[in-house]
Amino acid sequence: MIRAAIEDARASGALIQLERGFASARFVNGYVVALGDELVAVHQFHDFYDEGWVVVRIDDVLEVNRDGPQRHFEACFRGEGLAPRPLPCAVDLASMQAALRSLRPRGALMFVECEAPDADDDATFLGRLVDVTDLHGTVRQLDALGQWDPPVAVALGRITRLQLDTPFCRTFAKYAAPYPVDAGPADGR
Amino acid sequence: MGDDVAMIRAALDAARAAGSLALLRRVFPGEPRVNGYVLAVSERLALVHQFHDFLDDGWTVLRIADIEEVVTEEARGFFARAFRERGLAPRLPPLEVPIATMAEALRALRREEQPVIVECETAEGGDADRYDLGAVCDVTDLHVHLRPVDGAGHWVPVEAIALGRITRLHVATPYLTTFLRYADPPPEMS
Repeated sequence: MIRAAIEDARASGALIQLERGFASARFVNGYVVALGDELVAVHQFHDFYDEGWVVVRIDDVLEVNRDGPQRHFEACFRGEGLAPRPLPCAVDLASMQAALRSLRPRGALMFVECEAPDADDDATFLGRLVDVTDLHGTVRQLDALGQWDPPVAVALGRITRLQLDTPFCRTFAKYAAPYPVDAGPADGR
Repeated sequence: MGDDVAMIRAALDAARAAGSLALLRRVFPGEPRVNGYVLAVSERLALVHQFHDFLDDGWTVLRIADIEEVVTEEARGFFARAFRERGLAPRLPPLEVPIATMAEALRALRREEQPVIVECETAEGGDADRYDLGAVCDVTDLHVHLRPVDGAGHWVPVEAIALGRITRLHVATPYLTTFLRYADPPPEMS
């Protein structure tokens, strides 16, 4: 039923709210732009701010809301010219591994997130994908000071969300240190 | 606990005096972090020009007792540089917002007919939190009487919200302005 509702939202171009069980990002608001076997891509918004794209696991979606508030928001979005935009690049939504493999050549700064029901247990990686294996995605991540840390291998099974081309990523990238030439050893996690 | 609040107040005032970008960590899981410039500090409240990432998000009034930490130093240096280079400087709100008490702040909003978002946050977060967007009709010693707009853009009957439960106000935010632009016309306020 969830999958059908998501597919219906994609086909109709409706503004929807996906509810998930993660305290730090319980709701995803926006337009469904693509759907795969395991993942869904949403052109997401924070309030009326275009927040780029998010890829989440369909199994984590508890509800697809398109009731009264969403319809009012559709009027707001139409009035403000906030139309859905397709993904900025091809992303294979068959699985998280497939998605990361398709994103890796792009070399863009992105969020790789491992969310948990308790937000204190979340792990967030902002960086560039450097490798994808059968079990892990390896991220060269930026710290809060804009400096590059050694690569970290993140278990694919833990990854719940990817964020692409968000204003935060684009702005952060502008002021971060240049990407280092050496890759360094991966730190298994 | 009184000492903790005094320390937080002092840190907020230092951030205000220096014009520093500050990250405020709060006790509420719904929105544990507020990022921005501290514009004013009273005994109980702080007025902050807030940002969502690098986006100007208007102004918020917060209770000092709900703030656990004020971060303004080296970790913020990177963000402070990004803010400076993008011209994201502190700005005063479009109206004077006195912050001696929540009641005073709300009375000022009523006088200026400025809509507001009123939040009653909780330690549990989620559905336990209360969030109302609307117009201030009256402020008594104990309550604000707010005419809310529901999520579908319709004005609903006036509700009384206990002042002691209010943890946060949002004033002149882009969300507030845009939401009301497409809502029903406001009714006559009594």
